[in-house]
Amino acid sequence: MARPQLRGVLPRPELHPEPAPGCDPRRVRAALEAVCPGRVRTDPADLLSYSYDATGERFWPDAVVFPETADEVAATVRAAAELGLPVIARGAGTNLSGGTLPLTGGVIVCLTRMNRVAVVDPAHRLLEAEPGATNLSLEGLLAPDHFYPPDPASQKVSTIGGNIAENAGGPHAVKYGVTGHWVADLDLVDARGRLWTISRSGFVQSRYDLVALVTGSEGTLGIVTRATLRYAQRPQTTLTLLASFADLKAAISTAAHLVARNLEPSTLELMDRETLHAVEAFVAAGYPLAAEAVLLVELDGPPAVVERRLVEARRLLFEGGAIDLREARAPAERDGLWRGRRAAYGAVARLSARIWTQDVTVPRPQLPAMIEAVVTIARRHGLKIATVAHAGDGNLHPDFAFDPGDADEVERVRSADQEILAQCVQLGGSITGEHGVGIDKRERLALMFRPEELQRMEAVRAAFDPDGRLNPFKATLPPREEPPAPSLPPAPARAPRVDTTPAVAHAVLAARTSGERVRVGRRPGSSLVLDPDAGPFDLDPGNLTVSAWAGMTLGELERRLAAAGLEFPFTSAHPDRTLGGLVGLNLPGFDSLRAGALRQWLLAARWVAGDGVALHFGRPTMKNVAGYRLDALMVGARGTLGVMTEATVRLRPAPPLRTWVRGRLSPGVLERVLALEPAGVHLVNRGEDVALWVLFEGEPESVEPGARALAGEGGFEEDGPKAPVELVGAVRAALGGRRRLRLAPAPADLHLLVDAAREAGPAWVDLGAGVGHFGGDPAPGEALERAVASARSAARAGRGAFVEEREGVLAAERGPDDELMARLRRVFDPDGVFDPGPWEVEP
Amino acid sequence: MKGAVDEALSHCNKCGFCLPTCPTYQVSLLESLSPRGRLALMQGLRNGEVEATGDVRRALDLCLECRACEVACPSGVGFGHAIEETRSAQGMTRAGLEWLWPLVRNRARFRRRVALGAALERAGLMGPALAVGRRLGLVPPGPMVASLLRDLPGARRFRALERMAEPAPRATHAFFLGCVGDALFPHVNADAITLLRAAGARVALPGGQTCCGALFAHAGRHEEARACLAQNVEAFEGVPGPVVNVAGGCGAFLREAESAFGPQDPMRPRARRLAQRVVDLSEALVALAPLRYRGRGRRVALQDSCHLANVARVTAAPRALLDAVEGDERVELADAGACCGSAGSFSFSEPDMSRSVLERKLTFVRQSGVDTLLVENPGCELQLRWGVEQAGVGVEVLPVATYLRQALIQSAEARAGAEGTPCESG
Repeated sequence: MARPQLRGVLPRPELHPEPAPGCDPRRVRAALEAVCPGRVRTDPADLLSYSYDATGERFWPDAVVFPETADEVAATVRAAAELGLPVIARGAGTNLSGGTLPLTGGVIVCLTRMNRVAVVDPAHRLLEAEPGATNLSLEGLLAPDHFYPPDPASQKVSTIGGNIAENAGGPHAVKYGVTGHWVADLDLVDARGRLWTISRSGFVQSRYDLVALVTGSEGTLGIVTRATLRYAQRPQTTLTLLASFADLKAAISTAAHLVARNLEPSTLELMDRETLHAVEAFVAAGYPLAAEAVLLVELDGPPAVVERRLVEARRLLFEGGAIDLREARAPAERDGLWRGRRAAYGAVARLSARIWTQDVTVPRPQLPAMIEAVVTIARRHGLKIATVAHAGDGNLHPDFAFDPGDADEVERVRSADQEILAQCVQLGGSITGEHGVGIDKRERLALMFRPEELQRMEAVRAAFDPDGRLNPFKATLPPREEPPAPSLPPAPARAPRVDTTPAVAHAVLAARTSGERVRVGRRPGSSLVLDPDAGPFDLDPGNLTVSAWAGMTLGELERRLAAAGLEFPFTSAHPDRTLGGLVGLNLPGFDSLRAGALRQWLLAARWVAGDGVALHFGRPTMKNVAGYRLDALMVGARGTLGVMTEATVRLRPAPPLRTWVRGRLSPGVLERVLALEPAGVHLVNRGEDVALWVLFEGEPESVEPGARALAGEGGFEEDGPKAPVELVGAVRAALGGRRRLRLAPAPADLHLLVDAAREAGPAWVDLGAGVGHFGGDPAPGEALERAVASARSAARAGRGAFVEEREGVLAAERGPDDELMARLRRVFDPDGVFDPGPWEVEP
Repeated sequence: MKGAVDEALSHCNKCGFCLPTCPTYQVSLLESLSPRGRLALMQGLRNGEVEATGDVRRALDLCLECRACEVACPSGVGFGHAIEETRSAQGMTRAGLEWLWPLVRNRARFRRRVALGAALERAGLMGPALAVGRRLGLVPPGPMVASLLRDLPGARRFRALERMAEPAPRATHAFFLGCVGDALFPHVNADAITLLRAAGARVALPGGQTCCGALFAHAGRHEEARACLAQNVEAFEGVPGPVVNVAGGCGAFLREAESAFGPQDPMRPRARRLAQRVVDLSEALVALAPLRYRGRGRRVALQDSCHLANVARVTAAPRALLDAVEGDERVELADAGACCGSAGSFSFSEPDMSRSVLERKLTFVRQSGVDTLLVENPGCELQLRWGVEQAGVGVEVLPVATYLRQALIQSAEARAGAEGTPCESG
């Protein structure tokens, strides 16, 4: 079909997909009308107005469909498959990477009419949102006591579906994390038009973490039709500071200090002079036009903490060279400043006809170098730029104002783009932190990934969507050349020490060649043990990250981090385990209520796949949406996808105060304890009674009152900062006993764990993680089996995750995703070198 | 010189911030009925990708021109002028309004027609007259007309208004009467003048004034709009002081008068001088000696006039005045700045969309729990009064001027009463 083609498009030499073979428009219309009656648009006005997103390029779709239910989405996907047309999910079309452009035509599934939101579980702070709901509608739902932290600048219009597709960040990500941290379960329509739920509302999941994989996959793996999201308590106090600097570099290095000093700013934004002038023309919020740069800093929390941090922040800002400091406490004043920051992208369009915005993200200490490189490159190419940065997480947005009609300028913008992204990769960063790959970064993915990694992403995509129906030509890039097949070097010298990734690759290849299975670890029957005393170790205190050898024990990691005043929340509960084991088993830490799940701490992983290929996904950056986050698959994968050799994790400064309070479980006590906002709550049944261990940690002002209050109750006493010997002992007993059961019901069924811990003999229940370990008896007792049965039936009724593990083996239950699990496993282990894992159910 | 469309297109980078502010997007959730979508359509027209027919034309027709998108636009896109230019270039005059043009262009004729209607109404002949008028094509279609033609002002009202006029040389303020406002709402203009006089102003009513021209401009009839503006420029040049009005849309159009004339047009600087003098009643009152107002224990909310808020950017002054009314409580209406669907002649030319937009507005009015809804423009008053009656919402719709005049009188009465009591006076 002759399709009116785009205007103002930028030259993208490696991106020239052929339009899909045209379909008879009447046939398209009829087929779609049959599934979404009255909600199919094919007239020119609608095709044109769904031909663009915020990148401004234009590709006409064949039809636009407005489903109102998940079943209609599924039916639309099936109808499009019949027609041979691709399907592109779309929300408000605010994305900045071209992710929703129908490059080859196809059916736009516009989800804006699926916009319902509801709080479903206030106790566990869970809400459900349909994909077309806007971020703003969640604000309406949760105000005034709670909020949903991800806040992309377009939050008034951007949709939750779009947030999930792009793994959206925003200014508050520096403290609260990106969208992925807040997604629990997803309902997904897959490429074949089947609707299923992928669940991880608990800390542990029984399968690969598909939620993590789908989040940020830009609509290429499925169409989200409903999301269960976590939300947060709104802080008691919020204070916004606007610090002016006469020097851009001074502003950046001051931002780095604020993070390193553990001030926990909830936002840390930088705007340069050009941006300030553009936004002030729009908001008139009193931004200082004489400044070269400003930092917009927000502090939130209990009033006492905020006030103490304010004193420290003032000092650091002035020491760093701030020439003026404005403190905005009144909501109206804060709103004015924030309206300016959010409008930065749009406001810069006052400078020129079009804006090319980037979102390079580097390890935080590299931000000054990155900005310097950007300024130099822009100057060399004679380009106008305005720069904003989420300085607190190393995420930089240089905005290039250019005229698409000026071919020479366009060429210079493209060269500068390439150079900046290359420099970002050089500095260890990700070419896109939050905007996504879309079409905009697709050609540049090869800067970050080797052909074998690009190919693995393509293979994962094919595992979900073998026919390439969902949002084609976006997000991933097939390698230009076939990666070489790894081969076993001749006459392998048996490496005495397995302490490098190549050594592991060698061992895996050797096993594959000889047809042996590779079993990693120190348990009996293992064939491969990573040397615990060696291997790479790269601590970056300024970035609050460490990359460490997967064979390192957590006890050793804890010691090394403590020397730098830092910690990784998962070490103290499992000192004898290795970092690789922790990731593979997805274990919680003692402070599970505060620290959350491991998946929120893992930034990158290196591993050796079953074909002996070493892979590296993720980067030591706070944000990264470049390609699929395949490293997330390693969390809880139990060694089925490869031998992990190195993990990069986030760290935190050791909390100023940590204390355990011990008592006995009695009626009503749990509710009282949880209301005190503890960092962790553990029940230990040692045979005679059930002890309650409560961990408090954080700022003294916010922690002490709770700890004191509890310690003052009858039967409770404060036990100090060290992990209690009895608890560690109980953990060891539960984990180390011969017969044991690990149970993780859906969040709403946590009471089952408490009941079972009371009745079932030796047990350890981590309430924050929602995991119970039961051991001791030769067989689980009747009380326990009852709890297992209830939890299982609740999960089957669609109430959320459920994990049952006996003797270290996950109970294998058939699921709708069995086949997908197997396909994913074969992407990484085509020859079955590793144990297939508990979810591999033979057909 | 770059046209308004080129200028707009060269700055829209499609960020989408305008979408949630657009009433027609809110009720349809269709991109083509959003400002960003309409700009893309204008771009498509410019590029020859689409033609101004069918749905493309509908999408442009369905713009209310409330210009809320301009307030939300970080890039400063002048959407209102762009769509007017497009409509004009495409010959998109609003159909079905032919009856309106001769009336609004001639104030005296409009007044006479209304006074005649008032006489018919008193004689109980309005129903049959309407039926005949419809058949002869003299009465516009649409459901609102019947409710519009109720309680029509008679000739005495107009004479009373004229008696309040100050001779030009002694005046401190000039009053802009409007066309529909003048013919159908002379009592509101009278209320405004009463308030101004109470605050110490001497108010002239220049005789040569006419419709501001906005109705013509929004319908793509730019020649007539310019003629109106030119006539008003001349009418007000002879009177000193601020040019006060109580019709947000007219005031906003007058404030932009300059842009209607080319750079070489001698009328341009004169239009600019008029524009600089234009103020809303609320701004004029805030600048004068404060008056005392007393309410009757009501719960009130303000519905912004789109163009007063989005073009003139006047939102604080009316709220400051309303907050000065003792004894009443003002609450903020959710989305108070969003259009009610009246949008000049839009409610006549696009009754279905107008109705949808109105329904959304009424939902917020209901949720606010107010008993009085205050408006700043005759169009809003007609639309919302009709809307609350149709929907059975127990809310009184009042112009700000009328509400304040009542509150002024109540305050005076209360003080008179208080002074009359022995313990206070003696």
